[in-house]
Amino acid sequence: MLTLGIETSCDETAAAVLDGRTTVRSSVVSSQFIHANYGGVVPELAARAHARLIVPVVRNALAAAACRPADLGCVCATHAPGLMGALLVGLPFAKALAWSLEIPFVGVNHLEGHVFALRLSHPDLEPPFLAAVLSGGHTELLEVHDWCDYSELGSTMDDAVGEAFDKVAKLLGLGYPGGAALEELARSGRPAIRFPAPLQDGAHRDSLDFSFSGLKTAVLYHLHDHPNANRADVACSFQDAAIEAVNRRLVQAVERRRLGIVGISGGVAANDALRRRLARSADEFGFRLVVPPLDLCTDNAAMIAAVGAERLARFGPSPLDLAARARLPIGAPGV
Amino acid sequence: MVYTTGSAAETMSLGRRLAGRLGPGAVVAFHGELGSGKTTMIKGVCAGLGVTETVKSPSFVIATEYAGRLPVFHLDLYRVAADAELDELGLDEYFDGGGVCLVEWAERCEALLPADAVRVRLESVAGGRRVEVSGLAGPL
Repeated sequence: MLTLGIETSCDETAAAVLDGRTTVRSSVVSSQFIHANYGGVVPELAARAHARLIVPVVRNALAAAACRPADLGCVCATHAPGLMGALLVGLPFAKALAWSLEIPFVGVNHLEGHVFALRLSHPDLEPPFLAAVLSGGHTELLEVHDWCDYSELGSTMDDAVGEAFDKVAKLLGLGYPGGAALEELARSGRPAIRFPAPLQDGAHRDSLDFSFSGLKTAVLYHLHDHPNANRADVACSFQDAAIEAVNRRLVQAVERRRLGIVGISGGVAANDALRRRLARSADEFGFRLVVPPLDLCTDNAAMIAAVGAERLARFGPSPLDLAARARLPIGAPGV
Repeated sequence: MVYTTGSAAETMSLGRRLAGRLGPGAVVAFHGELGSGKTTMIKGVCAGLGVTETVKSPSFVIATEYAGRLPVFHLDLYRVAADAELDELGLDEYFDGGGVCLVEWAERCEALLPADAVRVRLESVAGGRRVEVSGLAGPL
């Protein structure tokens, strides 16, 4: 069966055609560069850009997969979480297309998509495993008992890890979003500054939650107190502290839940220093580390189609009145 | 009124006290640089309003709604471009939503804020935070 996936939860308009459960026939992602002119994202512009791009992006995905709408067996779209106005472009589009083709529609939780990105890059991957979704909007540690069956082990108490990278990049004058620029700057720096390890004290030592707000503030203080600080060293020291916080939680979770596989996904999973640090831990603690290629780490619609195909087989279609939600924990009733 | 807090817990506690002064339709505009404690204080306000969920930074999704004893709308305009067509964001729907609106980076929607908005200005100073609250009668 061919499944069309549609993703419009934030800045990317994406469509993909999936064959079966793991064969990606096509995956088209159109990033919205319009926001660069404004120095930020503009929700109304994001929604309008999605509306403008959705038809050509879907057409391109179908053409690249060499199929027609009539060949599709199912249409899926992200319905949560994300920017409301953005979700409200892809979701109704998918419903209308499914309805007109008289085929099933499935609503997908974006976070679950990031878990399925691991399956697309590693079709042999089977639960149970630990999945970490690390991005600008999410920092989630999930125990995957089975496909579509999760427990949340930990989450951020404040800023998402990618948000911390972006905001510290801003403090360093690297623009916004600047996570990738920060990683680049950190390459020429040394981890000379000891920033505090978040949530490692007393009550939080056994928690699997994350906190990055205090780390961001520590960088701010350091820059106040040392106006001539070597920015590359600050970037490198911050990145080390953030990566160490992620690494520590992943190792804690693996040990506690006795899991043999760890998958990381989301835009921050593209960070090379993070990958190298986790690879060392994988050797030391004896787990398998699964990291998708960059185009599956960042937002895409192939992972949305992968969730939809699995959920359709397990639970049947979603109702056509399924609502868009700005927030929705993974595994919550409602999908 | 100007307050000084020496820790995140104290900033949250000040937020709790502020919550006691907020009713349906209240809009609180938070101003302050990155890391000045806006989200921390808002965590306190939300706790004071009976929100039991973990209040996170809404920078990514821009608006988050919580159910407290009143609906709480936590808005964060950090990622929103200042010169964009803000009137199309639908902020007035939040402001008129019968709940409490807590707006971070509120200077980016200055023209849309109601005249009676409570102002909270946070600043990082030696040893803690300076918090200036205006638009309320009397101290917190």
